[in-house]
Amino acid sequence: MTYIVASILLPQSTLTSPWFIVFAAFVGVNTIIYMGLTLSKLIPWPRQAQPQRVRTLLGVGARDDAAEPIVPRVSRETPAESGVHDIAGAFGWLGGVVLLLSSVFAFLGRGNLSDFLAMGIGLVFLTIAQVISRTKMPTRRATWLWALSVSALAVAIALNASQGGLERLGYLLVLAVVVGAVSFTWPSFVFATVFLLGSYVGLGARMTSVFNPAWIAPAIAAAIAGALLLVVRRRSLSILKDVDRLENQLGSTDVLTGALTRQGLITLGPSVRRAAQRTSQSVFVMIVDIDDLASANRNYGMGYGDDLLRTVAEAIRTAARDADLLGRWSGDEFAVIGMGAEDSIKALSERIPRIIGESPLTLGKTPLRVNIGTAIGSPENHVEVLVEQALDDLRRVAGSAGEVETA
Amino acid sequence: MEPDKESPPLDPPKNDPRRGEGRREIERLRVDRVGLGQLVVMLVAGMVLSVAAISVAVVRSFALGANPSPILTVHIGPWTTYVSEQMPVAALVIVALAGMAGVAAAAVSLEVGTTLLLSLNPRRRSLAAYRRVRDESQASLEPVRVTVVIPAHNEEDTLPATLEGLENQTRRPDRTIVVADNSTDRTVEIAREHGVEVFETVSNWKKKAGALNQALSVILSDKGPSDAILLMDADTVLSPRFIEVAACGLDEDPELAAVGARFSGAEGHGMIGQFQRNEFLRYSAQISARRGRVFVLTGTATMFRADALLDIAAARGVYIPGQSGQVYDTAALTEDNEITLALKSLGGEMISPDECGDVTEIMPTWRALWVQRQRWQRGALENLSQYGVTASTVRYWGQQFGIGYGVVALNSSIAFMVITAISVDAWIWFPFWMAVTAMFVIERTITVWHGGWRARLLSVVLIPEICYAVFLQAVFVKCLFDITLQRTAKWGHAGEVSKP
Repeated sequence: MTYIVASILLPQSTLTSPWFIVFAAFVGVNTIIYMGLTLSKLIPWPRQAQPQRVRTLLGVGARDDAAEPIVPRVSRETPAESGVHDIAGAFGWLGGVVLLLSSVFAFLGRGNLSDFLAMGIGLVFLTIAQVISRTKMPTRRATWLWALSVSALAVAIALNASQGGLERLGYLLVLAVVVGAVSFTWPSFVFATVFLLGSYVGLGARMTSVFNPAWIAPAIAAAIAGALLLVVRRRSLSILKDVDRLENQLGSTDVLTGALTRQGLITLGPSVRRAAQRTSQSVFVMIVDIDDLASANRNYGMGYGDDLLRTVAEAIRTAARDADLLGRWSGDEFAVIGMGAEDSIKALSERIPRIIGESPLTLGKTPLRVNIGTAIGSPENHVEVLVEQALDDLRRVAGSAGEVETA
Repeated sequence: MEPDKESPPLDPPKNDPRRGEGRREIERLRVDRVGLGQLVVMLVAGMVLSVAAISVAVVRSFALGANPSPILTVHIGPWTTYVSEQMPVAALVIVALAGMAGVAAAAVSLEVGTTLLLSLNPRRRSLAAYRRVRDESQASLEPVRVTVVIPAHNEEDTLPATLEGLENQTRRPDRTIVVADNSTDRTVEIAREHGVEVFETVSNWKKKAGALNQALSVILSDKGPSDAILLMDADTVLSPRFIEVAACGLDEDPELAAVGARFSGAEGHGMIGQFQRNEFLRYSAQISARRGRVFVLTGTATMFRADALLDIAAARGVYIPGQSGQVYDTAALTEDNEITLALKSLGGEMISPDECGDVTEIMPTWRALWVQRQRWQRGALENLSQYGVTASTVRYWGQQFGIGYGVVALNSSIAFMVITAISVDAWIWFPFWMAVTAMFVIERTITVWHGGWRARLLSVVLIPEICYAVFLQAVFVKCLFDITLQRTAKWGHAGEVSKP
């Protein structure tokens, strides 16, 4: 060694003296304790249990009815958000699996550098999982991050396996199972699984120098295991997403507000017309538009906008008669289709703002307001025509309200 | 003890045997102040000794230092540098990882476990007997009514922003009351200008706790099960959904006693401000990971169920320290820390959701910060000594002990680095240890990511924040020293109110 022998204050031999080594070990143990505590601050904890639920579960103490929630719990998580949680979960799972496998390999072997590298990758994946779930990363960016990370990991393992022992191919197999289960939900990532299984079969064939079907059997087993995991996942994690898609396809109910969708209104509108024809009444359409919903979304977040939509839908439902159809015509416009003449419209358009006014939700300093447009026609008119007339009326009403405000 | 369902007494019975028993229990648990200081120091010393013993065992069993690894000379262009491949053997790394996981699992399960145990025995329910007779079956169906109570002592500068913050809430409070405590400035006028009610304290010399006790004794007199009291500071601005989310939480879970804020620091005051903002950001991130399990119901803003406050007032002097009938213990230096312990001891459930944030003033100078932290630290230790070691306080004892041990751990690692730096002949890179350090830096930076580029920058350079940590540890040591010498504690500079 050619470096200069000139330490600053203490002799270099200090670093190899027994007391210093014990001191170093002391610092090391402290570091481990600190990291353990840091880990406990970062890992997601289980949700706080309601005391009453704990007592009921353990059969301790008398059950009291007051502890039952009065307001039914509504999941505040939209499907898009749950998608992000899926990806975060996927990263977490993958990171955990890689960390576990590389620890096992490191323990069995003599601590190969690549094993520590893999441990590092596992930790990085766990970190990414945390970042995604905390920063509420857009779904598209998170899925891309996932695809790239998995591909990079596959390349790294394939390179490693081509140099190291055969047992390292086990990595690829386990990864294929995990990745397969997670990826199948997003069609664009099926390729990740195909890529992993392909490299598994290919590398196995190359390393044994013969094409051995024994390599393919585990690959097929992995694909089946992945598919099974997928079924389990779909039943638990993405159930919300499926419900949403299903409901929208059926086209009857808007998941957020429980009102009909536009498609649902168009489908069910003729039934009101027929009923009106039988009783020779007119048909009316009323459009209720939430004033400044965009600013609520902007200022208080989409979640609050959703709450407003739910509140308004509930208010209209309370105000309207049972026979009236309530639907969400577009983003912030609700439509009510019913039978009756001017007087029933008048009563309804007075009731709705009053009920909305009673709700505690506001847009900051200004109260929550709605604009109402109406149209009446004979039952021969198509529902869409009446809706168009009502929208024209709404624009007229909203326009004059704007003039009053600016005047 | 089951509450007497037929005829709850209007007042706590004077000759209730539980009362005397509770007193004795409190007396027994009260550790004298000298003993408290010694207890923490002895615990820390014991921990240091046992870790040192573990270290010796590790050095022996893994024969550390026997074979110094070779140092490689690396040429990068014109530069020459030295790299050591030294790193622990695989088995040691596995043991270390297992140890880490063990510490993390122990920390999480200790707290989750004690919370579960506490929820089995809600003493709060048995206290319902002390409350007035009410038709609770009807009242509990209504959504909560929110009364905001703002104690203010000469807060003319910050009060307008606080009141405007309330006006911007998505769900407005039903009633707002400013408690003007010995104010000599325009606090009262400003409150009246904003159209809120004003309660002026009468000959109160017991600081914030005394002012709140006076006001709450009036305000709580007509409150029922569907009332919530939001106690907040006059220098605090709530995040816009605070009241809506907190009230919704109280509506949904009848056993939820309090919803606390996650505070963040206001802008300004340069580096010392950034230190505090980073500290608060990490604290908030930790509460987030803990799913809202809150350490302290901060005095900056906490929404209590009115019944919970009534229960605390009824339980004082019986189950918990303090004067019977008073919501706050006026003897406590940090009244928000004390009321958290009180509520936990009574089995109250509390949470701090993501949406319930607030922005509060930070300390502008090192001197002010020193005094404030001195008070927090002293208050926390004194409150603990009053409550003793119980299931509800064990985690707080653990926290204090952790701070004490942190003093030893951080300073010895600093000493280790300094000794190494002044003993080496030439600069040598250790990739393994650099990677370990990088993990620290990454963790610290991610936890303050929301704070903007200033927060990230301060965190990436690491050393200033280590110095800040040493400063906070100095506060702790000074505090133990004061307690041991039985010096009296001071409240801190006027107008400053409590945070945990």
